[in-house]
Amino acid sequence: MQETEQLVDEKIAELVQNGNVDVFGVLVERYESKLSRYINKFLFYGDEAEDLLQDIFIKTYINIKSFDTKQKFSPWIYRIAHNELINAIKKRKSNKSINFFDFDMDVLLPHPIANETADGEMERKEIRELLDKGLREIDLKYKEPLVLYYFEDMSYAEIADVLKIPTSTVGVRIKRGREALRKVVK
Amino acid sequence: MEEKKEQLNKEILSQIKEGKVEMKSRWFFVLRTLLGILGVFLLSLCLIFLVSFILFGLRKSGVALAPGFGPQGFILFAMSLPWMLILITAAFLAVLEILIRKYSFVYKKPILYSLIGVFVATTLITLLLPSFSLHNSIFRAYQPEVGDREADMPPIGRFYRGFGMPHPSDLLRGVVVDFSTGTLVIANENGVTSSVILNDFTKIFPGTDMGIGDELLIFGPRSTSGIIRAFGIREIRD
Repeated sequence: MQETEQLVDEKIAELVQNGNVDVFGVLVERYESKLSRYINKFLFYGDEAEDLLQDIFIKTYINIKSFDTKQKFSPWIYRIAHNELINAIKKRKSNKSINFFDFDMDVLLPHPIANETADGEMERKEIRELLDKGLREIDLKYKEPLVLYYFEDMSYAEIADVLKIPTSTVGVRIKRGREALRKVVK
Repeated sequence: MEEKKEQLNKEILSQIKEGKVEMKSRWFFVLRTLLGILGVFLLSLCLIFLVSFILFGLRKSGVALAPGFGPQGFILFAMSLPWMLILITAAFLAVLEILIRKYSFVYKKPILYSLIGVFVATTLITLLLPSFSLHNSIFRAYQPEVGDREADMPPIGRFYRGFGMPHPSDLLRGVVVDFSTGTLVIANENGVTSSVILNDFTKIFPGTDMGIGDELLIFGPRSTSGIIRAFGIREIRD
């Protein structure tokens, strides 16, 4: 087990795919805190969050043979987490009306100003603090890229893989999300 | 915290070991991918068929040439477009977009790019394939005999001759059977004749011969007495 702990996620996933069930526990250990934090950012706490977390890991195990070990594991498991989260949010809203035609123009058109910029540590820290304060107030479509970028340290391309949206849209949403956050907190 | 983590780990592993949770086989995902590819392929074929049929219908009926005769021609063109087929094509395009959107080379780009890509690819394939001659063969195979009703035709014939083909009332395709100053007599493919009046405002496409036996497209409204006042005339040479 100690040897497997040295292995990268993708290699562990390959071992699980080949029938080594026990090493799946290493992946659970590695992602438990990260995914818990991710879920909490969407206002799921306590038993609800625990059930959601368990469902994410169970879905990960069930579908692990669809994972391409040449790709990065992290965006793949976050994609599963994202889907579970969306389902949970929909369930929460089941008594309210859901607009099925809620089409987002951000993914339709190209965005020229969406390059990834290297934020300084100070700025990242500031946004994280703002996010903690204004989390309830901002739209989910901005909240999710901001959480993945500032808390989970993912690149725009990785976030695009998690959310299945254009890379340029990720940039636009992070930029708009930051602006919305600053307005809300001030 | 560590305790919770351990508990979660134990719970998940015990569910796996007790067989309550089972890994889906690789074949399941291979099959799903193959079905997805098959779906994309079949939808693409449908799209190519629809786009090429719309273009064929516009050309065969002569509607495609209407915009060449000014504003009246353009209105005729817009009114005669097969809007139902265009809507069906748009629906197929939307479904195809949904099917291909799960691939990273598609979802990483804005939807507009992939829609344009699919549309351009479909149109190019339509133009490169001998689809027009195929449509023409089917069209000719379901030529009705004199006195046949459209309802008696098989569905494919009704589609090619009826529902799918534009039938603008202000457009007549036929052969010149008589000609005198300012008036033409045109017989359509069923042998029914119509009188066509030409005036100073009638635009005649350059190079058009209007002798007996020439096949013409006549653009113009038909009066209650059945006489057509042509605003445009063009010879068909294909």
